[in-house]
Parts: sequence; structure tokens; C-alpha cells
Amino acid sequence: MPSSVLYRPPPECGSFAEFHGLAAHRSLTEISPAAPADALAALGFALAWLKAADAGELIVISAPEFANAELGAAYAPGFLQFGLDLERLLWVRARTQKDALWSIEQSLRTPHTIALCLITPGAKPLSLVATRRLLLAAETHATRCVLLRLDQAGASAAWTRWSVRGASSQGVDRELGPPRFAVRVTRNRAGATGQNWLLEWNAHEHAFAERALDGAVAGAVGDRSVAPRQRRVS
Amino acid sequence: MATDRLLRANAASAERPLALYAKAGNAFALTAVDARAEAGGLRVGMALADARAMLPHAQMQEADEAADAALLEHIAAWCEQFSPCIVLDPPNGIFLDIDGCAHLFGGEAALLSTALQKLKAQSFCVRGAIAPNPGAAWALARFGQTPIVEPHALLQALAELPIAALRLAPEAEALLKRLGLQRIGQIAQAPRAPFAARAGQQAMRRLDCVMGRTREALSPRRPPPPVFALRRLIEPIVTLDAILIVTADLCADLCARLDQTGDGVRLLRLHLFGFNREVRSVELGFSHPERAPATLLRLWRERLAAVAENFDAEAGFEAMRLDAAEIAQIVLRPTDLAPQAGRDRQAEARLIDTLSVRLGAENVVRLAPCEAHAPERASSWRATLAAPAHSCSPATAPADNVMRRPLTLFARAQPIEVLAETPDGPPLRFRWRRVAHDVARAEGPERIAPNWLRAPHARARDYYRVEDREGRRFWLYREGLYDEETPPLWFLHGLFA
Repeated sequence: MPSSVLYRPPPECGSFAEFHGLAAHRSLTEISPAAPADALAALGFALAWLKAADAGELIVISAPEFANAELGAAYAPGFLQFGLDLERLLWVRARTQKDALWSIEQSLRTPHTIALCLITPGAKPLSLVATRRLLLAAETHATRCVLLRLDQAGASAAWTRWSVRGASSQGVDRELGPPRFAVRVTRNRAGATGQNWLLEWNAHEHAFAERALDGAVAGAVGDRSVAPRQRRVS
Repeated sequence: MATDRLLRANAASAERPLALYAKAGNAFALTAVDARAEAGGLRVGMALADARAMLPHAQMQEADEAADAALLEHIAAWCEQFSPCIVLDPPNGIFLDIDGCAHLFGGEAALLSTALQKLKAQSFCVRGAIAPNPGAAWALARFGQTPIVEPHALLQALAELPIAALRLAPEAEALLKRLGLQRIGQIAQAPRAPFAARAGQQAMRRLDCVMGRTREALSPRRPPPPVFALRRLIEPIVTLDAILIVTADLCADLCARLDQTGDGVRLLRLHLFGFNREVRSVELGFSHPERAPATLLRLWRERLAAVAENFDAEAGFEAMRLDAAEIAQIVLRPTDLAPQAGRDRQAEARLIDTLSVRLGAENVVRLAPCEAHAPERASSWRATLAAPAHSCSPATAPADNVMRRPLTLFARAQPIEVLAETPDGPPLRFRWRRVAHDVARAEGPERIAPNWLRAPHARARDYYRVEDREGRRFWLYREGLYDEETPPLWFLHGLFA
């Protein structure tokens, strides 16, 4: 095996950049953890998704308060390091899931908004009607919505659904690397499903870098520099 | 008023004369007498022993100043349905500034008789007067015969009143009496310099106030709102729909007034005056000055729906007042015909208002970093309504994209069981929420010493960033060192993405 390889994904899978370029403009996206313990990875991927998709809009995050006991409360230094602009972030602490959904619907009616709603497991699962309401509000006002489904996601009006798992860092000497996510498209109203990608979040450039599933590198996604960037791994 | 309070509370018999006393110097003196006791010859300021001798069958009770002050405050709150500017005049007086309010009641006479009737109906012994200045109103209410005096008749009305109506200091009053001056009319046109030299500057000032020659400074109970609208209702209303209809009228009134000055409202206060003397107040804040009646009403509908169950309007409301407690100039900005990528600030402000009304302003927040050493104090929530978006430092993502601080932090660090390689080393395996995690990677320690001023006995913490075999990342710390007496404890403080 040569000391460095340039990984190319199989053609039927497509690159994450292409897929993400289309999916990021969809009005309703769902992100769910692959296992309950991956909730934080899913939250991280959702935040990264917002950041990679936004164009200077207002970011509204609405979470039922009891989610704090499970996940912990949002932490400003961590959010800053993750690349989020806190001045553009509006946080809604809702008492109930219903209040959270209502606040998200109100936000979607505000132009230039991108909204994230945490859906926690509850007695009453989120209905198809509720998701359709959000979809309609977002499509009518040209806004975008991401649902972080910590519950068992059933029928939904979302365009795409992503299953997210935390991925181990690669690197020498027991060091932790950038945030990594193993994502899988589990639902796609406008195309194929089942694609797997291994992504690394570049908080500095607000872009996902796609890694080969075996650990090699496949080039940065959403790279805004002029020269094409290709990183090599020894 | 103090005797009325006891009679209302059935703490005294209504059959016999009633007088209250308090300790003045070394003796007990009367502080309040009711009408029967007054007819029997008792006067305020009389010694208790003398009073007992004069009317042996009268009931004497010790005065309770705190309860009297509370009652006065309560009555003042009720009086707010007549005017927003109320001045307390202890022990038993209340001033109402009725400038611009009288027309709502059908004239000054109607306002006065409504107020007095309602207080009398609650078995208060009450007197009132309307005059061009507070001093004259005070004098007429206590000593006068004509309840309403127009400015041109002021001198005539005051001339017959005794010197006591001037609210003078006791020495000055005694001096004037010694000089044979009994009525205000006798000193009204006195030469200024000799009068001031004899009776004192204070007496001169009081006289000037009563005559309307200078203005008297009064401090209102609450700062009066710059703009307000008021409605009295013929029949008490109970239902939310009825309240909303009246609120719509009030909003239209208020906005019409704000229109004249080009101002918008930032904080509204709606007072609902209950039939049972209870006053309810509801506040509504805005993130930017607002003047459209439709917008105000939409937000009131949300706000009132949220608090309606707490209204307890058993007897209904008989009056409502809408105060613009804070107003600000509305700055019109030109429409941006070629907007930059981005944000619609006005729409955002409207969104914040809508969310705050339903969920509470404290729940619509911005995340803000704090300059603090302790990790749990480095993050805070700021209410968006109170403080507009402040410009915090731009996002500081590390160049190597490795997160040093977790995305979420637990309010209370969670205790965990840890197996470490070496006593001082990073953890090898830990158990959190009954699940064991094998640590694959760990970085640290990062020592964070406690604040010696705030928590001098707290132990230093060694933080580790660890990743388990599944790729999940945690922020753990060890509190204390192994060479201390108590063994160190391990906690999980936050989670990384």
C-alpha cells in the first residue's frame, strides 16, 4: 500500500459535498442519534449543520427545559469554540414540548431564520401533522428548520433524516481530534438513502471535511478557499 | 381613618365613642377620635388621662401606625383608577393629581362625588375637595365648606379658613394665634418681609403655596407614566373577551396620543381595578418601541390569556388603565432596497416580543460567555428583552479544530466511579449512569484552582478530556489529590460532541 492515498468514494454513493449542497437548502431536516448515548454527537452535528448551512441568518434554538437534565445545559465557551456566533443565536427555554414547537413555528414565520428544535421522548409522540405544520411554515416563509429527534422518530414530513453516531478520533498518542461524526442518510424524500459518511467538523472554516470510512482523507467539503485543498495522511 | 379601620374590622364597638392613643414623650396622647368622641369633646393631641376623665365610657385603644400606613397605601392603590399620579399624605390624606382625568368621569364634581361615595360606601369617614393647588385642596378638604373651588374664587374661599389650614409648624401657629390672627384672610395680604421675619420662612412658603403663588413639590407614590389611557365601566366586567374589548379601546387611545409625539412604547402596564378594591397589574415589554394598536392588541391577547386564570375577578373590574411606563422615540429607517445577506432586525424584534409574551421574557435568552475562572461560571443567559443584542467577541474557534470546552455542562457535576492507571493519571475506565465506559484517549490534566476568596476550602480540580471506545467524549475532573487525607472524588462535568 502506498504511504498516502487519495480516497474516492464509490460513485453510487456520491460525495457528501454534493449531497449536502442539496440537502442543506431543504426546508425541514431531521437528525437523530443512532443510539441514545449518541445524543450529544447528534446535537453537535445539528449545530454544525446549522452553521454550515446558514448565510448570516438568525439562529433560533428551542429546547424543552427537561432536556437539560439529560444532556446538560448549553455552555457558552463550548459553543464559541464550536464556531457558533452567539450574537446571532436566540435560545428559547420552553416548559413543554408543545411550547417548543410553537416557538419554532413562530420563528419559521420570521424571514431569514434557521431554527433548531429538540424533540425529547414524551408521552405523546410527535405527529406527522406537527411536522407538516413546520414544513409549511418554513416553505411559505423561505426559512429552514432542523429537528433533533431524541425520541423514536416515526412518520414525518422531513425531506431528509440523518442518523448520527460519534466517531473515534484518529491520531497519535491518545490525543483527541476535531469533532467527528459517522452519519447515515436513513430517509430521503428526493432520492436514495443508505449513504454513509465519516465527517469531521472544521469549526474554524465552518465546513465539514469528509473522511474515508477507513480513516483516509477525501478532501474538504464546503471549502471556501480558491485553491482546491487536498490533505494527505501518512 | 384609623378609627374607621377598627370599626370596619369589628375590633371596636360602634355603639360607644372611640379614641386611639399613642405615647408622646412621657405621656399618652390621643392620635385619632371618631365622630362620637369628637362630639363628646375629645380632640386629637389631648392627654389620655384627661380624655378618660371627660368621657369615662369611651373606648380607648392603642394606635397601630403600621396598620394605618398599610391601609392608606391600599386606599391609594384603589384611587389609581381616578388618576395615575397619587401622593400619599400620612397619616390620613391622599392627593390626586386629576389634571386631564376629570373628563373621563363627566367633570370634576362627578369625579369627586364618585370617589367620596365609593369610599363612604366602604364605611370610611371621608372628606374631599378640588382646588387649583394641593395646599388649598388640603385646607378646603379639612376646614372648608365648598368642595370645588375655581382659581378665581380661591382667595375668597380661603379667607374664612382658620390658620390651622395652612399646615404650619406648631410654634408658628401658636405665634400667629397669640398675635390675634385667626383666619387666613387676615394674613393673606400681609407685607412679606415682616411676616416672614416673625412667623418664619416656612410659614411664608406655606402661605404662598396655598395662595398659588409658588408651586409645591410633591413626591408621587409611583412615578406617573408619561402617557396613559383610562376607561371607567358602567357595569363591572368579568370575562376575558370583555377585558380585551376594553383593552383594544385603551390601546387605540394610547397610540393616538403617542402618534402626536412620534414616540413608541417599550413597557406597558395594564391596571385592572376590581370591584372589591383589589388592583391587578399586568406588564408587557417590547424589545423595540411600538405604536401600532393592532400589534399591541395581539400581544395583549397572548399575555392576558396566559395570566387570565390568576385574575380572580370574582366581583369583576370596574375600571381599567393602560400606562405607557417607558416610551422611546421611534426611529424610522429607510427601506434597504438591496438588502445584504442577512437579517431582518424588525422581524426579529417582533419574534422576540411574541415569544416573550407567551413563554416569559426570562425564557427567551441569549447565551453569553463570562470572564470567569471557574468553568461553571463562564457561561450565562442574558434576557433578550432587557438588554438588546450586545456585541460579544467574534467566534473564537481554535485553529486545530479541537474542542477544549464541552458543548454542554451539567448544572451539578455528576459523581462517577473511576479506575485510573496510576493514582495521579488519567482515568482508564469509568462508570456513569450505570454504564461503563472504556477510555480510549485522554488528554489532561488541566488544573483549575478554586477561587481562594469565594471558596477558600474548595479543592483544586484536574480536568481531563476523554474519549471512550465508541467515540463519545466527556469532560471529567478529579477533585483533590491523593496525598490529602480525604481521597479524591471524580466527577463528570460536561459532554463534547
